[in-house]
Amino acid sequence: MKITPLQKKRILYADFRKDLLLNPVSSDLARVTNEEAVKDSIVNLLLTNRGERFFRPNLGSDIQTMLFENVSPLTILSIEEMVKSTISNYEPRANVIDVSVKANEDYNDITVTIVFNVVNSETPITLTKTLTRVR
Amino acid sequence: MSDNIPFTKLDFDEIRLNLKTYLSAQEQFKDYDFDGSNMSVLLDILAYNTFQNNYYSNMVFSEMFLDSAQLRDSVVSHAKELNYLPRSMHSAQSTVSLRINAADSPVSITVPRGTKFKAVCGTEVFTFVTSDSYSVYPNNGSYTISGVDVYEGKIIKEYYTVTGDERQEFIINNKNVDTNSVRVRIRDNVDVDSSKSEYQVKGNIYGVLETDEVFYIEPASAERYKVTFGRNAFGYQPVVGNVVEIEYRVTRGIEANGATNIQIIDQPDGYDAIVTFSQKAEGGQDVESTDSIKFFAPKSIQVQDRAVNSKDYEILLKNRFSEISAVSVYGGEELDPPRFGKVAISADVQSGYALTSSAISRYIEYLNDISPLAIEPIFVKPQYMYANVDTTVYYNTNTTTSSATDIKNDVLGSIANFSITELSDFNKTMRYSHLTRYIDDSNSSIVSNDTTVKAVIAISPITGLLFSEEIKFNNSLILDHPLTLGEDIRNHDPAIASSNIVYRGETGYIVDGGNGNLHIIQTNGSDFTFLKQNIGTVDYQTGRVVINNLLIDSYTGTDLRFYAKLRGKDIAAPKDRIIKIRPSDVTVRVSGVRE
Repeated sequence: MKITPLQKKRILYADFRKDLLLNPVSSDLARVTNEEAVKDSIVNLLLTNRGERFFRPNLGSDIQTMLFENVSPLTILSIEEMVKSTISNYEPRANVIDVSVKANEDYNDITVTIVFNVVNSETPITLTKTLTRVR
Repeated sequence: MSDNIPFTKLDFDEIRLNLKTYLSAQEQFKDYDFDGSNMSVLLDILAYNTFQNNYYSNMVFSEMFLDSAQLRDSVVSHAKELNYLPRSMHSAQSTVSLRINAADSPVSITVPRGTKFKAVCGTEVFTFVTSDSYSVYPNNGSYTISGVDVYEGKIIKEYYTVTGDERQEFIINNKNVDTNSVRVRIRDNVDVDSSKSEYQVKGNIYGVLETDEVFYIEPASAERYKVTFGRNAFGYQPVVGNVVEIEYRVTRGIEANGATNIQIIDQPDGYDAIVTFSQKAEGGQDVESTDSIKFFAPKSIQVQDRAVNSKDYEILLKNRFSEISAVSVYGGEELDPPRFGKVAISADVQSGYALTSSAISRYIEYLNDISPLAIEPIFVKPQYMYANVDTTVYYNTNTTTSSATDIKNDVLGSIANFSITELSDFNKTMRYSHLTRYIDDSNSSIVSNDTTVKAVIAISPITGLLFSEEIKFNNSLILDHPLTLGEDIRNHDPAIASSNIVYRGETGYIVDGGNGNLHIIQTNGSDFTFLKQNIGTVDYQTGRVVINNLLIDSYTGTDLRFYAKLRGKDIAAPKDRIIKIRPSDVTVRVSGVRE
């Protein structure tokens, strides 16, 4: 069998990990690439409260404040809109296909499922994140 | 790829952009510029940190210079390098007389330092205290003392035990201290009955020996002051175990200006006393502003705390004694008669009243330390020139609901403001156009004004005795036709005219005859008679008026006023006179028009 070199996947986007883990081989900062980098970015945006970042008061979303609202169809709808607008405003690499929010009243949290594709790629990616009140 | 990040930008956004520009050249991370990325978080922190360093550096360098410093402590510190002591709050002061009722006829009665008085300003009651003690002895059975200076404020004492630590500071903790009132006594030890000696305040180290018991006042942080000693080089340094007793007055500054109805609270030696006073409390000042310190500190070093030329005297006196509003200084040889070896100082105070003898004593005591040897400062009464303003104001009744009286009051207030703002000092010129502008601007409904101004110099001759007087208007006068008997006096507009006098039982006034001579005339409608001719001369070119050996019975009012009709509309005051507009010299007529 002829051995051919693996076609190296092209890296379009790269980032380091939030926990600053090191690559065990090179001891450089470990990287996340392409879809994973975009996923990390979306999660960061959703978890950043507005006013949290210095000199950038509008960056982020106010989803965490919504966790203290009574669960109702209107609240669910608001959260969905927030997720969509946050991604469209601050994450131009992602095209949102669908956002669904499920409230888990018994656990005081909500689960956000985002289906999106990365620009220049047709593959749909699903990101699920559970948001819990911290107090 | 650039390895250098430009750090010249100061704003957060620009710093962040610079960092992004740098990272864009790196291969490792390609999504540096997306807001949600972890790199973006790091970028924000780096930019913020750089921004914070920039801000800190900017503030540090800004505070390093007197011109750009913004914090008061920084400005004060720079001023300290220039040996400038920022002015503290100053107490309002008044001078009172006391008549003490003592039925048992004691040998003497003492009014101690710190005796309390109260006075009212508006609705507030202020406490006043004496800064010295006074003794009064009976005079024909009555105990009367005049010239008692009282200052607004309360006396406070602070104590420090000397530890021997060179870094020990003797802080005056109350920000409202009047530094002129600070007294320092050094007690041998903590025993309150141990011997104590009073130290003298010094403003500089000139002539101070290592054994002299002196103290200095310096600015400290947070608008406070501190007391320092000479460290056995420029004055004796208190030793370990001594107690530093600092006594001072805290004041409310300008709030007490205008306080009146002064009454005594503490009874001297237990006797009742009645207070009389001739002037409201004045001279209260707030602490010097940062901008003022920035302005005066460099000037202070130019003068070097030495009064050599006339400007030195002016700057030093005005800076040290905030109540002085105008100063003119000239050599004693210019006095009449000349007084060589003296420097003549003429000062006006903000209260508008004459300088008190105690104030003059304080000024001279201060100047004696900083004047050259063999030069003796003397104070001469300030001379004034007044402007007599006669104005008719036209206002549009369609554009205001104000009454004529309101308009008149506005105009009077505006003229008074003009006098304070643009005049009331030596070497000033009353600009006619400025005055008319003030009048026009006093109310928005005023459409025009018709104003005439005359120069006025007032003298106070002793009545019943021959007197001679020379009055210098230092302005050209408008000469009218020669006055002849039989003509209608109403057609004669003299260059010089006086207020009414009584001459040999007849009431008249002094006018110039249009030929360079002064006469006393009496008028009756259009007729006039000479009561006395050729009592003096007028030089129409220089405005010099000379009265020779005149004896009058009396004059109307508090002084004898000479009105001069000047050729120019502006009035330049002679160099030794302060020009002012007194309310009594202002006539306002108001006329409504419909436009």
